Amino acid sequence: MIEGLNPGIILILGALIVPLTSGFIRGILLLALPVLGLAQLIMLGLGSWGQFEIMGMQLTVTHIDPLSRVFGLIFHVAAFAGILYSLHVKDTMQHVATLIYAGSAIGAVFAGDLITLFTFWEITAVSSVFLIWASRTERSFKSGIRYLIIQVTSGVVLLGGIALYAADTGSIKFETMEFGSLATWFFLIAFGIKAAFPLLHNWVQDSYPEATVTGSVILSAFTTKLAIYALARSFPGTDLLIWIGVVMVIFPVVHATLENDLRRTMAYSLNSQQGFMIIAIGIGGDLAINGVAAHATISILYTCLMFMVTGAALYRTGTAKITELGGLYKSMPVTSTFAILGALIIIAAPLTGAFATKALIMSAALDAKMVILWLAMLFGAVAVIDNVGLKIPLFGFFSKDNGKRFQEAPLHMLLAMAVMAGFGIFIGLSPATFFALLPTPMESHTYTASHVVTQLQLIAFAVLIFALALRTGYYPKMRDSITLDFDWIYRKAGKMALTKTSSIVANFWDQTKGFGLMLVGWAIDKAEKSHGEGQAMSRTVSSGYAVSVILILFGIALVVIYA
Amino acid sequence: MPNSDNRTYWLDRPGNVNKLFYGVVALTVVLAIPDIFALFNIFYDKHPKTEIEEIPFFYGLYAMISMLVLLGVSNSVSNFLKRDEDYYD
Repeated sequence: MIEGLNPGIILILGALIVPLTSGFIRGILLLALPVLGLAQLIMLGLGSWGQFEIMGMQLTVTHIDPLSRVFGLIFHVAAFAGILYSLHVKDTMQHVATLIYAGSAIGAVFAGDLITLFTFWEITAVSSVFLIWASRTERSFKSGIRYLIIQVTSGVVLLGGIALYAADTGSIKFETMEFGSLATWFFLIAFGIKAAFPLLHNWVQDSYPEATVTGSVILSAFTTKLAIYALARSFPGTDLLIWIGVVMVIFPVVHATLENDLRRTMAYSLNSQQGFMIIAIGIGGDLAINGVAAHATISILYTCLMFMVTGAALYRTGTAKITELGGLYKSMPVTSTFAILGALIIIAAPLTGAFATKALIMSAALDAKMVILWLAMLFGAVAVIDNVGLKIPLFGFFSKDNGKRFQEAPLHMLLAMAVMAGFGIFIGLSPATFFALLPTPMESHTYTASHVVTQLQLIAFAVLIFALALRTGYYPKMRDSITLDFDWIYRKAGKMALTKTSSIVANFWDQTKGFGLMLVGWAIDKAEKSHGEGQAMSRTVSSGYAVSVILILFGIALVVIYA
Repeated sequence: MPNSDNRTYWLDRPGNVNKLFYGVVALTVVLAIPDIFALFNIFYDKHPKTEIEEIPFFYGLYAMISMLVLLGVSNSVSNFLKRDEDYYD
């Protein structure tokens, strides 16, 4: 292989061959590409490659350090599992889009400079929208357009930031920056859009549930975590991020509780989990940044897994709505088991990965004496027990039987779930093995008696209230409806304001035009009366009469001037 | 596929959902025991990092309060935020 080739480029180039293949060969090729990328990543080790100068700027196409390596590794795993999950799809467009999207996300992670980052950043936006459009419904088309506008805006803002940053510092190296200048604000907004910061977040819940069954699995893994990586690289220890993160943890959980669509519930929960990582980036320091990398990894594993199980339900039953599903565990026992495993990982049950990784972020907050912050995150941890841990398996798979029977999910889907669940649990069983990959070496004390007891207590009492709420009818009723969110501002209020404004403008224009026409009509009328056919000013007169009039006028002039 | 299996599942049998519920209650009781031991400083050390954690049954209490807040807020904003499925179409 070419020395120092960015592993992401292997997937992107491979995507170009995919349309030439079909059937079994295509399956092999699709699965082989992430494996090749992973092999390249491992063979390269740490370092920088592909450095060259263009227009006075120093580019570094491949830069692998411990932080980018963690994200690169999990991106390869997610790409492999996502492709395995979508093997039944016969749609070339989706295969190509998946590979280019995953490849560009990996490419962006290993970008050593901002120009390379920007290039891959934009490719992720443009390639991923095809996974939404692939649903080929009007709703998904419109949602995809909104998604594309927002994603490309992020890219444009990033480019603006790069120009300012290069002018300020003369460097385009992608490294830790001092937050404060205008350029860094641009970066924060660009990264913040993709990280789903509060008020910039709606594209996640809008588009992920509109994507295809396999598309939402793929989408959930890359864009938001790429943004986490970019923020962890550039702004560790920036206080502002702590408060953004707190809002992110708390804000989406009410929507996740009320939501009827399983995939949208996941999208809200994903948003809340992003908050944990943003907080940790804001805290900064070795432990917190280790926590970011570790929790991003686990987060990709369980989020993908939950999108896989809800996707499998959608694939077999044609719906992912709680109100339309019932007794699915009888038809799909294996998928239901994976739903429970995913739920156990996401609620950070002992022996699962999140038990080990969430603790890193929580203790980083306590080490920094941020108790309020810690309480906010603990609230988020309880909320996710409800939102995903209980709601998705119980309401999605173990709800009251509605008499309908379906087939179990296809084997390749189950295998893909097994890959994600396997890694998620392996990290919990052997945290030290995984922690060795984190940016800073550290000692871990995952399994202390107090940590196990307190976490189990947290889970058990949350389950108790959940069960009591269900029995007493206090739990919010699931209804076939949507829940308004901030996007109401631009999808409804903005639209209404625009329609209103345009009707006012149109009205004003009509009035003005009417008045103008009236004026012209009046003038024509008057002119016709005086100059019209047979009127005073257009009458033909005899020359004698005309000469007399002229003489009289001359006479008056003479008298007036010389008198 | 139509409803072809006439198997009775464990969850379908009357009373079993109640058993699950009492199981959860029993579990919470068991998990509260270490905190009781900690009160007397026997068998179990809490290693608190903050003063808040020294409150007995802190994690259980906090989980219950959080859940009630979450459900309470969700219930109260539900009618205000819910719209028909085709609201935006």
